[in-house]
Amino acid sequence: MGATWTAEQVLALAPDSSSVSAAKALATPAKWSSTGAAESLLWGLCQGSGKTPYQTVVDLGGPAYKCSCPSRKFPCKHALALMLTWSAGQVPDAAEPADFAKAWRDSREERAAKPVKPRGERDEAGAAKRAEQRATRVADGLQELDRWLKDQVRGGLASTAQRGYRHFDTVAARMVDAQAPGIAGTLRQLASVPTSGEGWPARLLGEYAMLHLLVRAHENLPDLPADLAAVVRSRVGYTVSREDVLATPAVNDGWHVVASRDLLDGKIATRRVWLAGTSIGRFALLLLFSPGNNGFGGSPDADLVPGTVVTADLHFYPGQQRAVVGTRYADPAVGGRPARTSTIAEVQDAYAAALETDPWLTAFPAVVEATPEFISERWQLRDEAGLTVPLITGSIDPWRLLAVSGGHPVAVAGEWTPRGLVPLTTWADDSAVML
Amino acid sequence: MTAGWDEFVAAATIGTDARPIALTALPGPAAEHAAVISSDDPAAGLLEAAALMSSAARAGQQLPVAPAGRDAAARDSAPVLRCTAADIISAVLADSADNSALLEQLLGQAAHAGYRANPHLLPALLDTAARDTSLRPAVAAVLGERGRWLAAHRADWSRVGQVAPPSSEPAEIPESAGTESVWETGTQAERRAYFTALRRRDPAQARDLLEAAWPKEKGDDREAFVRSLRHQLSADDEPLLERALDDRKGDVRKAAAALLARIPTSAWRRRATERATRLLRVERKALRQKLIVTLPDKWDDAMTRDGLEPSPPAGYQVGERTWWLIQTIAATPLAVWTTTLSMSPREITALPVDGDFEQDVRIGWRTAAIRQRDSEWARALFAVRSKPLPDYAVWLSAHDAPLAAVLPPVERFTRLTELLGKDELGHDPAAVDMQGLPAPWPDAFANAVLRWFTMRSVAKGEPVAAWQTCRLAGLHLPTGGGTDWAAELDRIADTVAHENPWTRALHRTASTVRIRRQFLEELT
Repeated sequence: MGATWTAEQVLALAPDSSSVSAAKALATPAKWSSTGAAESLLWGLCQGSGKTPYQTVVDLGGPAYKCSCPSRKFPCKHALALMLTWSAGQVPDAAEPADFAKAWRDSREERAAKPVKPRGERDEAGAAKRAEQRATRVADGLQELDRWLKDQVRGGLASTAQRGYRHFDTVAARMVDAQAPGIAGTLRQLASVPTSGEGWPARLLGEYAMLHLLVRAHENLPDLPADLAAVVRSRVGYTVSREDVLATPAVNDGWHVVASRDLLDGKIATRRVWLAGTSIGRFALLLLFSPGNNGFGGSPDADLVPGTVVTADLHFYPGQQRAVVGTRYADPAVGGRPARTSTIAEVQDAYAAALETDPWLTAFPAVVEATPEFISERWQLRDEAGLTVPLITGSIDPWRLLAVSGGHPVAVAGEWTPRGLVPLTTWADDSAVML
Repeated sequence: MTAGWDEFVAAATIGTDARPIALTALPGPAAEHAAVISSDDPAAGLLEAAALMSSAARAGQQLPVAPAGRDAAARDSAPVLRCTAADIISAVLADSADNSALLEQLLGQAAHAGYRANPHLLPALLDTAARDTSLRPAVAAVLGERGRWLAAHRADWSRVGQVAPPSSEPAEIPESAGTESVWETGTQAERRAYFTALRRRDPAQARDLLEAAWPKEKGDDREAFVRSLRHQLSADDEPLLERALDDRKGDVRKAAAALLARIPTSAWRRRATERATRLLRVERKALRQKLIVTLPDKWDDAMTRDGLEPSPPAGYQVGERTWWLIQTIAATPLAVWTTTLSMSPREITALPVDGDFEQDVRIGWRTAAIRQRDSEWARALFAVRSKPLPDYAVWLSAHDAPLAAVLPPVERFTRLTELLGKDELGHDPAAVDMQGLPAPWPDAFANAVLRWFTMRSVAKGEPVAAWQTCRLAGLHLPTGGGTDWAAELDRIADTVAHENPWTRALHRTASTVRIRRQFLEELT
């Protein structure tokens, strides 16, 4: 066996902090029997709550893990505990691996040696079985969520304020386990509602209601129109592979980057890049991710900043504005003002229409021609028809917008939400100014 | 949302277990779809009703109509900065280090070239100027109509918008100085600005205004207004200034005395001459001349009135009568000596002084030369400076700085070049004597400074960088001409052994010079 790893190296593999504490609790020789180490394998039996102990094997070469426990985490707490025990020098060396360890390693090697079958020839039955398993997990998870939602309403929202973030994090973690990460993300965002100021119970009730709607929609998935079904699946958190999206028909145009917004959810930063077609009157949304919030420089779409135009094929996710960039036909060039601007009433109509396919939509792209105003400590936009919409200014500098406008109407691109517009970009003559 | 929504929220807040809600008629468009709501589970029913109402509210939001608010900004005639120049300003503003001097220089150049700040830069410029009052004139000069319009929206910005930009036409009252009503009701700053502008345009009217208002003005204001009389000073101002000598506030008396000193025909001048002739006289004995000092025996009130202080400041170790001697000399117009002693400043300063008074007399003359900005006397005083001891040199240089500042620029540069060459200005020359030099520096001086950098950073390997000198060099090294001073600085920085504060200081200086050059190029 080579040099042992340190405890830090082992714990760095843990999928979350609860695994770390659970593994430490199990890393005592008393809990383990028949442990051994040979030929870069570790193995052992861990006494759980049931009658039969769990069989755990770790291949340090990978590293790869196998455990008979029901946990869906990789590595599970038993694998971690076994490695910790080994790291502390408490796993004896053996001449050769135990039978169950050897059998697992051999089958892994056999699988690795087989050529990967092309997509079409994949084991259809296997894929269908996995999909069915997932569907069951999600359905169970959503039922659990629905019970939780109803409990909130039965017991009253008033007590939410005292319970803190843990209240939402716990149920969000359950949704992650149930393979519904989209819902988990929504729940984590809800954590800030109870402290968001006056009227929060109304806002929280609205959010719970829409989650309940999503549960009901998921229950009726087979009966929904295709686009709505795709939206529901996306909001629950089913992923569509990039390859599948790239297989959809290309939509070619000069795509004008009109706005960009960065958001943080836990440790993952997301950048929303909004594109507007210069010939086609359509918007598209690109999502860039930065795990660990290390900036977006590594993303191939990082050069798409507001003010640029790129001639490219976009491929849209079914039923959504989200798209991926396919073929680019030229480098991004400097664009001028947006080709098209709307009145506030036009945006309202477009939003209402979009809600038909996606009732959960709360960030809708808008490019409005309007005048910003700061009246009685509040920011708003007023268009030529006199209609006003509040501006949401938490993360941007509205004074830049006012400076560029000088009291005259300007083009403003941003995200339309039920509570107002988040302004993100404006144009001074022909150059884009990010806010 | 209608009253129905509020009831639902209340029910949810308390909890349906505690207070079940009757799901009867729903408000608005939601009513049509009430059939889909589950009837067996009140919690589910509430959630579903809420979902219907939320969706209806989102899709059918009613936004208010409002009439136009303020007027738009007036049109600007001045052009905005070109892209690159605007980006430079943006970068300088965003840099967390203290860049106010650089910003002041760049904005001044932009204003001089007829540009105004691009609108998207205005909030950051106004924020900076609101925090740092020294930047207000420079920012005010590039605001334009748009900037002034924007500044009017916020209390902290509006003060910036009102500052009079440094105007090239001093005779014009800047618009922001306002009209006569400012004199009656304006703030302290506004009144002072108005008075100065009026004095420049119509000295007699300003004098009359001050004379009328004199009894009611506060001490600080009296002092400031007296100082403003320095513009267009004439013999006609003597009566008012003599009256000011009776003021109870010492600073007012001193300010008046300083101005009376500049009026050759004034009574004050006569009194000063009389005192002077009593103090110093030349004795000729056997081809040798000597300056004899007679200390004043007593203090009289006329001396206090004429702006002198009877007691030395705390910590100043000198006898009382010697202090009177120094003060009187310091307050006497230097021309008095050349007249009464019938000699040139050079000859006078070269005279040996009787008794132990040489240093005190010199201090008196020195103070007078600084106050009266007399470069001939400054030159004469430097000429008699005896050779200082090496470790005394730095102290002396610091001490000499105000006197050297009186010399014409060419002589100042020569003197500093020599001192830098001999390394007699300590480890940070700018901290000792380099303020107020005209900028940008001439090439010869720039060379001297860079040679000194090399000597200190490379040859001596000094671990402490001369930050102030580097900073001043960044701001004042020439950007035009044949030499690329930024490249030279980088070269010196790269020659420094090991990572050293000098490396960073010199690279930063180089980048400041580079920024200034790029910015100037963008203005042409």
